[in-house]
Amino acid sequence: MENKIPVPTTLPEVEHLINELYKPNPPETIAHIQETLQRLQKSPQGWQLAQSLLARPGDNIKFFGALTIIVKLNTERLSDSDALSVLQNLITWLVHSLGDGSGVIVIRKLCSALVAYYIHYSHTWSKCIHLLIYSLDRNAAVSIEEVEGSLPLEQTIRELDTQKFLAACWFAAALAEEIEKVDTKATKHISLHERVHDNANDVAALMASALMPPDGVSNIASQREAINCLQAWFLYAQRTPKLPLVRMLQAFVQPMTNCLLVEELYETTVELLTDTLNNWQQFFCREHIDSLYVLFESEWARQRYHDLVAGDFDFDAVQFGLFMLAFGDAQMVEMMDTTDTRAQAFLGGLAGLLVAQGYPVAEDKIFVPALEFWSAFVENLVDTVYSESTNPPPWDKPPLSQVMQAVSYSWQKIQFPPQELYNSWDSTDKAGFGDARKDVADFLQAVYTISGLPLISLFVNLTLRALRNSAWAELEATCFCLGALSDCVSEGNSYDDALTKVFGSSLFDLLRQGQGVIPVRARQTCLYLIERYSEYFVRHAEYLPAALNLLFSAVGDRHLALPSSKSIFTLCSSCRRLLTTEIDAFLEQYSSLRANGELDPLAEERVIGAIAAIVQSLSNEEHKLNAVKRLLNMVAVDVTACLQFKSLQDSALINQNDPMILRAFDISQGPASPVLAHEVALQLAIRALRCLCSVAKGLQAPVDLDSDDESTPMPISPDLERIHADVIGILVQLKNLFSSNAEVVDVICTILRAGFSETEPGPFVFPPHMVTELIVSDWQGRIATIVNTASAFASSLNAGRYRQHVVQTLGTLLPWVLNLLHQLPHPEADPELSQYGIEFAQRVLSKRPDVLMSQPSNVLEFLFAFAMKLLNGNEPLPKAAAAEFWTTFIVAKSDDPNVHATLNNAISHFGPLLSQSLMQNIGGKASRSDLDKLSDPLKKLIVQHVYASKWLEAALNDPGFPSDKVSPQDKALFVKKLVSLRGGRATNQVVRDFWLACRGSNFAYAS
Amino acid sequence: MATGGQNFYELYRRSSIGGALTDTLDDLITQNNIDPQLAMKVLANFDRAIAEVLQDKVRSRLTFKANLDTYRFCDEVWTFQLKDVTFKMDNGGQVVSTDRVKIVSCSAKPAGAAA
Repeated sequence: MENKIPVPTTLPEVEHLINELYKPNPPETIAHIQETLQRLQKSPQGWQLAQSLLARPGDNIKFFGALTIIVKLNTERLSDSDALSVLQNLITWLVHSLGDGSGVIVIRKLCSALVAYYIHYSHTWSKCIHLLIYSLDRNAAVSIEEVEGSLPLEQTIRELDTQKFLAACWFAAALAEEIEKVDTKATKHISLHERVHDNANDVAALMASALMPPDGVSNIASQREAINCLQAWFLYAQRTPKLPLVRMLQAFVQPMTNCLLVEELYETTVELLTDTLNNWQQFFCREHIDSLYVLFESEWARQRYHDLVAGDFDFDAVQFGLFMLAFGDAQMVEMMDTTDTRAQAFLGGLAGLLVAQGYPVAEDKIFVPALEFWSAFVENLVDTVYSESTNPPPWDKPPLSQVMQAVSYSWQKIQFPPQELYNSWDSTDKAGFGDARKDVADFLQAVYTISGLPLISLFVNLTLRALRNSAWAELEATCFCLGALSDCVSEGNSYDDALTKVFGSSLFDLLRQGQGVIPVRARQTCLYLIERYSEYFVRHAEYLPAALNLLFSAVGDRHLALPSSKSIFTLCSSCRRLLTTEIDAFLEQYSSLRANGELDPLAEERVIGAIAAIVQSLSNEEHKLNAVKRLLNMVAVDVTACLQFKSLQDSALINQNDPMILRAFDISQGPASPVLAHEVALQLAIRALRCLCSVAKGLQAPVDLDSDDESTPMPISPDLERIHADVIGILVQLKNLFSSNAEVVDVICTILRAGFSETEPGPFVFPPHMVTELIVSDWQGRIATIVNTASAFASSLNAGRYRQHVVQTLGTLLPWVLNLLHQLPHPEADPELSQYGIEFAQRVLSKRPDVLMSQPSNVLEFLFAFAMKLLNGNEPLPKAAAAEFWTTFIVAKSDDPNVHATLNNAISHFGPLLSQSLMQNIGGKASRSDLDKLSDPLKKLIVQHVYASKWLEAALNDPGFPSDKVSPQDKALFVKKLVSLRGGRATNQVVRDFWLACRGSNFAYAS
Repeated sequence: MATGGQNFYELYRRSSIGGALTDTLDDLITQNNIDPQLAMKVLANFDRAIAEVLQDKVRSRLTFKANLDTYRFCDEVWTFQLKDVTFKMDNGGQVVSTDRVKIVSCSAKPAGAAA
C-alpha cells in the first residue's frame, strides 16, 4: 500500500504525527503514520529526534521519544563512550520526568529503555540497580567512583521518595522480565546473566526497604510494587536457579506471607505464592512450609476458608482456595502420611473444599480445581503404594478414610439440581457441570485402584438407601458413579454379589412404573447403568428378562429412547447366545414398536441391530434366514413407501399428518406444513438404508475368525441367494434414485463393507459379481467413496472365501477405476478420487501385480504418468498415496517370469524419472511433513536397484534442481550417505537434513 | 505466571495438526510473510497450547484391551507395545481393532519444568 503521508521535516510536524498516532483514526491512517514514524526512528537523525522529543511536553511525545531510544539501542551498535553518554541522558530524562509531572507511561518506558541499554551494554553499567538508586537520590547520573564513600545503599533507598522508589522497582522488574527472555545457554549471554545475578543483593535491599522496613512503617504502594517486582525475579530465578539468587528470594517468603494479611496486598501476594507453589515447589524449605502451616491454621485463614465453603466465590475467596490447593499439591507426599496430624488436618480441609455451597461450575467455582487436586493426589498415592521403589514410604497405610470422604463429597456434589434451576443455567454452565461429573468419574476410577470392592459396596449401599428413601437425585448420582466403575470391575463372586443387590432390588419395578415415580433424568441414568454392566447379565441370565422387558417398555418413550436402545443393543449383543430362544418375541416387540409409529430413528437402528445380533447367534440356518427375512420385510415397508412417494410428481405435497411423515422425520424435526413427496421419499430411503446397515453390522460375527482358514467353504443355500438378491435389489433401487445424496451413498457403502470382513456366508456377504456390478454401475455423486469401497473390497477378496474370484473381479474393477482417473481434467482436480484411485492401484499391485501389468500398455502408461504427476504435485494426501504406490512398485515381484520381466523393464524405465521426482521433492519442493512418506520409495530404490545411485546423482545435478543452496559436494555426500545406509531408518533423518540444507537456514527453526 | 517457567514437549509437532502448522509456517516464510523467529514463537505457543488443550479441554475418552508385548521405562519415558488391540470409544461404544499399537507416554510435567 502506498504511504501518502510525507516525511515530516520539522519537530512540530513530528509531534503532530505522534499525536495523530494515538488518536482514534482509521486503521490505514494509523498504519501510514506508523510507517512514516518508523522511518524517522531508523534514520541517522533518530537519536537527535529522540532527544528532542523527550525534552518536549506531553506524555505521548515523551513516550515516543523513549521508544525511539529503544529502537536505536536494539538496531545500532555504539562505542562504549557513546553508549555511556546515552545512559547519562536516559537517567537524566528519567530524573526530570519524575519531577516534571510526566505520566507513569513515560517513566515506565524510560525504565524499559534503560533495560534495553543494559542488555546491550551491561559491561558499562554492571551495578545498574546500585547506580540507578544513587542517581535517583542525587537527581543526576552518577558513576561508581562518585558513589564511593557515600551513604550505605540501604540508607539511600530509605531516603528515596515514593515516586523514585517506584521508578527503581519498575526498572528492577523490567530488568528481570527482559533478561528472562534472553537465552541462558548461549555463550555470548553468559556474562550478561552473571552481571544480572551480581545485582541480586541490590534488588534484595530495594525490596527489603518496602517489605521489611526497619522502622516498621510501610507504604502500601511501595509494597505492592515490590511484590510485583519480586514476581518477575521469581520467574527469572526459576529459569536460572542459582543459589545466591534463590537464597535472596527465599528471604522474602515470610514478609510476603505477612502481606497476605493486608487487604490491599492480598491479591498480588496470593497469586505470587500460589504460582510459586504450583510451579517451583523445590523453592520452599522446611521453615517456609512451617510458616505457611501456621498461616493456614490462623484465625484469618479459618475465616477465609469458612467464607469460601459457605459459598463466597468472589475472586479473592477463590484465590484463597487455589492457594490452599497449591500448598497441598506442593506437600502431596506429606499429605499421604496418616501419622502426620498437621498434614492430615490440612488434607481434611482440602476435602472440605469439595462441599462448598452451590452447584459445581454454575455456582461453586472451587469444586473443579479441588477435584483436580484429589485426582492427582490419588494417582500419586497409587504410584507410591504400588511402586517398587527402594525407599518405601514412611507410613504403613494410605489415608483411605480421607479419600473416601472426598469420594462421598464428590458424589453429593454431582447430584443434579431441580429441573427448573438446571434449565435456568446457560449452556456453558450446563456443559461445565457435565464435565465436572465426568471428572468425578475419572476420580472414582483412580480411587478404585486402591480401594477395590469397598468402593463398589459404598455405591451399592447408597443406591439401596436412595431407593428406600425415594431420593431420586441421589439415586441418579449413585447410578452414575456405579456406572463409571463398570470398566474397573472384574469378574468375581464378591463383585457380582454386590451388584446383585442392585439388579435384584426393586429398582427395575420402580423404573417400569414410569415418570410419575422416578424423574426422567434418574431413569435415563439407571437405563445406562444396565448397559454399563452388560457383562454381569451374561453371568446372571436370571435378571436378563426383567432388564430387557424394562428397556423395551422404555424405548417408546422419547426421553428414554436413546439410553434404553443403547442398553438393548449392548445387552443383546453381549448376551446373544442366551437370547436365541426368544427371537420370535424380539421380532414381535420390534414389529409392535414400529406400529406405534413414534420410534426414534437412532433408537430403531439400535433395536434392529440388537435383534440382528441375536439372529447371528442362531445355530439353525433356516431359523436364521427366516428371522432375517422378517427383518427385511419390515424394512421393505419403508422402501415401498419411499418408491411410491418418489413416483409422484415433483411438486406433489404430503400432508404433515400422514403416518409416513412420522417415519421420515425425527419427532423433534417434524414438519409443520405439507412436505414435498420427493423429500419424504429421500428421508424414508435414508431411514431404510440405516436400518439395513444396522442389520448388516448386527449380523457380523462377534470375533474375527482366522482369515487364513482353508476349510471348505460352506455352500450357499437358495434361500440365502434370494436374500442376497433382495438386499442388492433394494440397494440398486435406492442408489438409482438417490445416489446424488451423500448420506445415501455413504450408507450403501457401509452396508457393502459389513460383509467384506466376514469369512462365513451370510445375508450381507454378497457374491463378488453382485458387489462388482453395483460398484461399477452409474453413481451421481461421491464417486471417491465408491472407489474407496472398491479398495476395501479388493483387499477382502485376497483374504476371504472368494479368493478364486480375485482375477475376474479385479479385471472389472481396475479398468473402471483407471477410467475414472482418466476422466479427470488433471490429477489434482479431485484429490480424494485421485488418492483413493491410486490406493486401489497400489493394492492391486501389491497383491496381484500380474493383474495390473496385464492391462493394455497405454493404460499402464497413463497410470504411471498419473502417479508420477501426483508425486510431483502439491496435494498432500494424493502425494502420500503416490509415494506408497511407487514404494510398492519398486518391490513388486511375481512368480510369473513374464510379469517379472515386465516389472523389471518398467522399473528400468521409470527409475530415472522417479529418482528425479524424489530429488526435486527432497531438494526443497516438498512440504516438511511429506518427507517421511517420500523417504519410503527412496529407501526401497537404494536397496532394490543397482543403478539407483547413478539415477539419484543425475537427478541431483539436473539443471531443474530446485535449490542453489547446496554444492555439488553436498549432493554427492547426500547420495553417499543414502547408499551407505542401505535403506535403514536413519535415511529419514538424512533426507530431512538435506531438505533443510536445500531450503536454507530460514527453515531450521523447527527440528 | 503459571506457564512462565515451564517447558513443554515438542512431540506434538510430529502430529497431523503440528505437521500442518509447520508446513503452513514454512509456506509463510517462503512467501516472506513472516520470519523464522516468529515461526519459532508460534511453534513454542503451539507446544504450550496443545498440551493445555489436551489436558483441559478434551473430554472424549476410550478404553482398550490388548496383549502387552513389550514395555520399557527409559529417560522418564514409558513405551508400551501392544498386540491385538481393541479400542472402545466412549461415544456410542464403537469398536476399532488393530494388530499393533505403540504407546509413548511422558510425564505431564517435563523434566526441568519446576527446576
